[in-house]
Amino acid sequence: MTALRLLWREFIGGHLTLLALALTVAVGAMTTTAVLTDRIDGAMRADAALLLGGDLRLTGPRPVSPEWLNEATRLDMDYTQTIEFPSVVGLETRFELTGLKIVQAGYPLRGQLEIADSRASSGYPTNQIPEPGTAWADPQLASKLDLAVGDKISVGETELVVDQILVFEPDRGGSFVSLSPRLLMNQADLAGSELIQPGSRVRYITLFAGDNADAFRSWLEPQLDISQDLDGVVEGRPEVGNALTRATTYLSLAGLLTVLLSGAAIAMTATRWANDHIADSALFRTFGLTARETTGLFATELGVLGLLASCVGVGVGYLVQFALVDTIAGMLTISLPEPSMTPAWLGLLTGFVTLFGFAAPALFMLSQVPPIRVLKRDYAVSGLGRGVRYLIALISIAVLGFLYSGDALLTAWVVLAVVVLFSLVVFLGRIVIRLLGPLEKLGPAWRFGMQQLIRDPQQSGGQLMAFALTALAIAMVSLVRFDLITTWEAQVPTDAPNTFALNITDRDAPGFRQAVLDRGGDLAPLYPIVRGRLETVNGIPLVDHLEGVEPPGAVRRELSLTEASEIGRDNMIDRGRWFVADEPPGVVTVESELFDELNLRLGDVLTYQVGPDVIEAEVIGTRVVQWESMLPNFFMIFSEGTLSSFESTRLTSLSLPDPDKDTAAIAGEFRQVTLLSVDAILDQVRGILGRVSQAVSVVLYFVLVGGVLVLAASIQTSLPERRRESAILRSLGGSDALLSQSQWAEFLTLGVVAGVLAAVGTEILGWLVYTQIFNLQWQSFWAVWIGLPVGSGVLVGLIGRWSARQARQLPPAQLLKIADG
Amino acid sequence: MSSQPVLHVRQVTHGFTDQSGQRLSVLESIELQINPGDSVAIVGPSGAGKSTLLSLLAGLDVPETGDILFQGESFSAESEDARALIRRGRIGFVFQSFQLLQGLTALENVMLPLELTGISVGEAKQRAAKWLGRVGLGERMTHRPRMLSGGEQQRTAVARAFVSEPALLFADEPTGNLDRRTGEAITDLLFNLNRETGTTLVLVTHDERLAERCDRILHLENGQLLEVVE
Ligand SMILES: Nc1ncnc2c1ncn2[C@@H]1O[C@H](COP(=O)(O)OP(=O)(O)OP(=O)(O)O)[C@@H](O)[C@H]1O
Ligand SMILES: [Mg+2]
Repeated sequence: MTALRLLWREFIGGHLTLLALALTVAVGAMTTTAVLTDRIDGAMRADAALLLGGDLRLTGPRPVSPEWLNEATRLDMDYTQTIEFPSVVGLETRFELTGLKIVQAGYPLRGQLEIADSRASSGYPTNQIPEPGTAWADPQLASKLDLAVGDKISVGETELVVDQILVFEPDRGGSFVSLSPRLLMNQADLAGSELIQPGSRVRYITLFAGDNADAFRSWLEPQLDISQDLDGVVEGRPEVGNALTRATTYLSLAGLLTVLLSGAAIAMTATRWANDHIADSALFRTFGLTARETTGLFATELGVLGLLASCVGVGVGYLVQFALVDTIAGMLTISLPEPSMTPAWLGLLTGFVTLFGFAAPALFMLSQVPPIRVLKRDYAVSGLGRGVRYLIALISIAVLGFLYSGDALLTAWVVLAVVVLFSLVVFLGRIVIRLLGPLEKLGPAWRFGMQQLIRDPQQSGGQLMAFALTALAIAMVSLVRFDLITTWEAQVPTDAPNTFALNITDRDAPGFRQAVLDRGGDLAPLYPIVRGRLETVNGIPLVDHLEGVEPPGAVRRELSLTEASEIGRDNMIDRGRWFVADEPPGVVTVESELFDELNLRLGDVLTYQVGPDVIEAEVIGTRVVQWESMLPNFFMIFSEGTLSSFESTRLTSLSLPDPDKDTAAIAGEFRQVTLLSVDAILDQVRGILGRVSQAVSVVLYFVLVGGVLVLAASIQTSLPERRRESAILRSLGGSDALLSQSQWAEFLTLGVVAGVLAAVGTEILGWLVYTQIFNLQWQSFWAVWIGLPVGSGVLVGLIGRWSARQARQLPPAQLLKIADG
Repeated sequence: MSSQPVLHVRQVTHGFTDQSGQRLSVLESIELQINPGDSVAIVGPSGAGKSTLLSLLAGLDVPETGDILFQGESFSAESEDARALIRRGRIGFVFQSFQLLQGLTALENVMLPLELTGISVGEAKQRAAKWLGRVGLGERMTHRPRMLSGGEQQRTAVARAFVSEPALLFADEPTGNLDRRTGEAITDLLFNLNRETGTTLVLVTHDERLAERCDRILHLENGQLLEVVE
């Protein structure tokens, strides 16, 4: 109770404002970042879930077990089941192999289908599915069968009326693999069609959606057998999944760095607080308090203060975050879900853990104050060793970082970077500042400024660390943001292909090519397509070669095989080689991941069944393929001539300046060619990437603001000392201008040195995070080496000046008291 | 009761070893008895060991050899915490640099030792107000140290020292930070209260006028403590 009264009185007396403020700001910053990242993460996932038609997609060769559906219901998850398989669809005498998709009411759980009333009219979104007895055909099927809305088509043993054109399925995906003609029909018609026979290649797909997707996933995952795949958006739609994963990691990184910054600020203020209370601690002992009682008193004071400040900080964090969302709402095209309460607890916990992680050493120091110090001021107080102090701080950073990011590796790298930065400050900082000693010759202001730095290495070291950390954090979040957004922009450039062309005959090929070029369009090579199945590896049947392991999905069905002489611009050879000029037929390059899944080695000989024929090819290289590029891509590409004896049509992708008009014109000219607009898919992906980019930027600005706040707070902690010193200097006749300039000189120097150290830290952390976490290429960037020292010098100089001005602007009467206090 | 000395120092020797391992002997075989109600001044050149002696007398530190008894209880044998409990409510301090808590008002500063030793807020407030009145600061109770002059701060410290009505009061250079007039006012205050309450007063000072007003003057030099007799 006494502790609380003491706390209250000291607080009213304005003696705890600094610590309380620093804690509040720190917890507030962490909470805001946490809430914001939580909401943005939620929004991104919800947004991306549209691309899957649900939050989770379970695919397998058999109907899903009812027990699983019960569990889903128990967890409040919605679900809908669809069935997909290829079948022949007929209209009069024309037949076409079509991907059937059989759906029930409720499909899709996320996103909307788009339909059109006729082949010529444009699409609109709908929440319906085809009525029993009707079906919706996609433009490709419509064009191949030359069907009109209202026509009756035969599907297995039944007949269905095509009453809409299916323009867009949110969950269809943009890869060439999924580009067979499509027919959507109602489950009620399935039995009558008698389509599913034993041995049919049927895929049963169940979509799940709901808030407990993660829980359901962890429950379900262990029960899956090898033939079943459970995908979230990340795996299900790699063209945005990758971006999503990276953005989430980015948010974690930002949160982690905020924890770090806040921790640094709290450490500084807590040490300040403890130093202020050394005399009090000794005094209390003369009142007859035992060491334990004294420690208890301070611990209670600190704990209660921490709790209250954390609560206020969490509150402030939520408010700021609301205000922030309000101001940016106009810019954001992403709609954020309501904030959850988890970040509040996290913020509270963080406030506590950081406070104790960083203040426990200070508290310990207070408990060690010998009572004799009331009589002898110079009695040293033996606190914890520096090593132990930093160890405790590091452990709390690591624990919190992990709590925040849930990413052990990321946390480890950040902690490592902090250790490196710390060593730099300890070993280099002092040397650098000493080397800068000659700056003293620039005049008295510089002399005072530099002396200030050299005289108290403990304090200048601490500030150097805080400034360097801030600079490092800001540099990291800015760089990563820049590179992520650049990567995403490159992924779907504005000139990305917006149309796919299929069924181009050899005869049409040159004319088609010319027609596209004449319209100012651009097109990828025209790849001949031959369907074939991979049969043996070095003469051993595939199943035996894999020793019972289920073959990957790609080779379970027929593959699209092609040949080429030039490598696509989104392909990169990572093992072996690409074809040389005049490469003889009979060699193949394999997509890198499939190569590994198939357990292949360079030099292996593969055979493929193509119709009644068999072809043989030796593997000479592997390609890393950027599937999300919207260019035609293939698992197997043969050297030219390998496939020339087979009947083939060609496919390619084009970008047309005016897709609607140009497509119509080209389609009129080449009636056999199927042209498919992928604008919708492209827009979908672009939209999501754009929103993810926005999210990442918003968080960057927040870390920036947080960094500046924390900087200001940390400078504030040195204010009492500065007050005393300026009072002394002024009483000795120092002019205001001199004081102002010396503080400017001091902080400018600190800022520049911190910037240089931060640049070194950025190189290290950047390399680690880029290569180990984001799978991006790390490049040393000159702007870091110039920008950080300059930026940090100016920023720290300004903030330092602003804060220290308060030290100077005191009435002279007060000055004297401070000088001897 | 009156026959027992408040402080009994028996054969106390104390010194320090500095970083280079050099031993510095500060006190050598000190013998001393201080009786209840006495006022004792310890004088001597700077560095003679006055503060060191005071810290031993107050049980803030223990002597290397010898023994110090406070009201018949030995400090030397006890742990620091046990010594703290012995001090509790029975020993008061006045310091050269006042040692007031900057965040607290004058009244709160005076209440502090009472509250910390478990006396109710109401009573603490009443007693503190009474003592602030006695040192002439009845009107300044809600002021914080910043707003008080040096003399006023020291008077607050005196009120704080007396508020628990200790048997023994130590003062280390109580006038050292004050001008002469203010110093004299504080001195008057200390001696008046010493007489009124019967508290034993042990003070360290360079101020000869202050020393001369004490019942006894002890001179510390070269590790030896000599009674100055007029
Ligand atoms: N912790 C210590 N370690 C080493 N030497 C010490 C320590 N404390 C005091 N001394 C030394 O012991 C001697 C006595 O110190 P003390 O503070 O008791 O002197 P003093 O008489 O109070 O001086 P002053 O009048 O200047 O306050 C001095 O020489 C001092 O340097
Ligand atoms: Mg002394």
